[in-house]
Amino acid sequence: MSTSLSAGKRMSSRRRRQALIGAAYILPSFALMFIFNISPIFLSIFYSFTKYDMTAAPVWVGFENYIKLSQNKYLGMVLSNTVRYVLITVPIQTTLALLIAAFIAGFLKNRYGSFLRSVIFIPVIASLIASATVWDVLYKPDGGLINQFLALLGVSQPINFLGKKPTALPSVAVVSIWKSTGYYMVIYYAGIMNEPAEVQEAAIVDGASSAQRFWYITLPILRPITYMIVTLGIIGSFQVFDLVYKMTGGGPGRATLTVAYMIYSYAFQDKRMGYACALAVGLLIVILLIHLIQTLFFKERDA
Amino acid sequence: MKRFLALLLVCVLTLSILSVAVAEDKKTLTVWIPQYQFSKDENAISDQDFWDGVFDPFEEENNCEVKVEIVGWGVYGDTFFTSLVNEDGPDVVYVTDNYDLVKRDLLLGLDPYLTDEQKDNVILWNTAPENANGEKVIVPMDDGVAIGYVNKGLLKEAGLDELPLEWDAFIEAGKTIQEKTGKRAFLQNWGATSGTSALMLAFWPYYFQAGGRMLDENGNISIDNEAGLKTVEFLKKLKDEGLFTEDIVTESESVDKFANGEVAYIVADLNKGNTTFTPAGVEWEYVFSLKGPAGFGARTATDSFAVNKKTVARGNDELAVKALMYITSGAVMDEFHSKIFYLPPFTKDASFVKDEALYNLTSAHSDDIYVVEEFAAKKSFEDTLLANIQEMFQGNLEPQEVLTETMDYYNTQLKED
Repeated sequence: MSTSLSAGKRMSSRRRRQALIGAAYILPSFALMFIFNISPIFLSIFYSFTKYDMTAAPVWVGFENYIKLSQNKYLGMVLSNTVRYVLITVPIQTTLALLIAAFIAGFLKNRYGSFLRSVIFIPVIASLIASATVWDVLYKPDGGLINQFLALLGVSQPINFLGKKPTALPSVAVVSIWKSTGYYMVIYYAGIMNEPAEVQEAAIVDGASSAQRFWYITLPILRPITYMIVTLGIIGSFQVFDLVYKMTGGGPGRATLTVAYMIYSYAFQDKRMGYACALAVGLLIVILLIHLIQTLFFKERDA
Repeated sequence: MKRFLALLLVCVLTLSILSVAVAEDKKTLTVWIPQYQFSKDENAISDQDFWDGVFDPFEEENNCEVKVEIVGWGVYGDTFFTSLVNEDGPDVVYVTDNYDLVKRDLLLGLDPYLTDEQKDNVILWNTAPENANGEKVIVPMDDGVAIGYVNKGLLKEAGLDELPLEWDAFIEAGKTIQEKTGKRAFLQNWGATSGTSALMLAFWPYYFQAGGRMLDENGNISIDNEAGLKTVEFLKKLKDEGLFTEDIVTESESVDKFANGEVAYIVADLNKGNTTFTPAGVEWEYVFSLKGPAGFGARTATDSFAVNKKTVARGNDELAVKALMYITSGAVMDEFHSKIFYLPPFTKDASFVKDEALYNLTSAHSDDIYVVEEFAAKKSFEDTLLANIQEMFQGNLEPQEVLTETMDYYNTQLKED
């Protein structure tokens, strides 16, 4: 009895020691996350109730920034631009990534497939500003490659992709899709490769076609991955700034002005951190709400 | 031998300590200046080498060490603002946007350090902003007027002896040039992604030509007036009459097209003629500006040199002001303008003039040159105005709405009390 008690004590002290060692391992990265990821959220919430210009101490102004924000006549337009941008980019990049991954996994499990994967992944590692600069040139109405190609197809008038309202936002979105698809494709590809082979084999024995197997087996198995990809896509697209900054500056007019760009202008052009933080907190709430709706949607489908 | 070695060791240690003490006694200054050397000539002196050389006699005379840092233009404004806010900012700094620095009292008041003669020597001294004590805080420099360039070859091809400069006549001539040559009459960067860079060339000069002034008597920005309306209506007319393209997003694009002989008239900085258009073989000439309802008008920007207020706490404020006045002295600036980048003299003791014709033209129009002034949330104001002008070009706003909406948004959302 006493032997088993002392063995239990030894066990629990060993567990405590292991837990402490585990905590020590986690601590550095947790500290960094706390400093750079978690605390800025709370600081932003605090600053959103203040008037703060980065030089003097912040002055508490209560809900003044939020009231002013609610009276901002361009906020609705900017939110609408951002949501339209999300609605263009997220479905297309998710679907494209899935289809390309399925195609490579199904038909190109060889060196050509590896080559294609690498090619599609290259835009992910390219610098965003460099990509935007290249696409700027491609889009040029005067001598841009895309307009030259369209001219070969018989389009006589060059299209001013970034200079006209109807095409500006979709044109920026295309660059984002081009840049992100490779990243999500790799995640989907890994998911498809982990699919249990026996399930597919059983479906083949039952006479299911490849389209049926994709629809009824692969897609449901990939649901958690799709959930993650859609979540990451939505968050990333809501934060679009650099592409807009480099390619259009929010124009023409306000056709491509997004919430993140507006936050940048208020914070760093005007040095009005409190007001910019109020807008950032608003964006956080919108993203959280959309994430909540998305989670409910996926849960309902799972049930 | 041992005694000798011990003595030698003591001597070496003493000398080392003394030299450290002497070195510590030597004051150090940090100077931030943006890159101005853009010449592709491999023999051209770099900014760093130029300034290091310039400061050698100053260091010797004042027993100090001057560290010059050349900062890239891309993030210059943000970089010097955050550096001046922080404790380790430079002592002497080249300033582009001074409004936030003055408002936050980050710059040293210069009046107590300067003689009347020194102040009088700075041509634009009276335009310098003041701190709460009424002391001027910058030495303003003239960045050079934006000047008009005419392609004489295209003019001849269109059967014109000279370019008419009155707004309406200019539009008519522009239509003729486009019809007869198939080239563009006029290019400006109305499709720009930054309001500040677009308006510098494509709005403020016309506003001045229409008789507008940027700030009212209280120092507030004001464009919703008759001059503003005339300006925006003129821009709309340029579009309606086909003398407009929104393809141009940067000043350099219109400069490149002018250098390629594809356009008859542009407005650009005063260095472009000699550095770009002549080597490109364009037959060109200067015109001061177009002529609006109130006459000629061109803009100039005033960047400046200033001293960090924290130099007082650092105990090197006097030395920093001395360095500031050394940088802006006629002798140093003449050398800078001849070896690095040409700008008009901004102190009375400077004499270097690179282009006599240009100098005579701008001197004759000295009353028609207007400074683009600083005010609260200027960049966002200019972004808003550009966005509204672009909305007008897209057919979504009328000229008066451009002005009303811009001022309304500025007063309710951008201007902080």
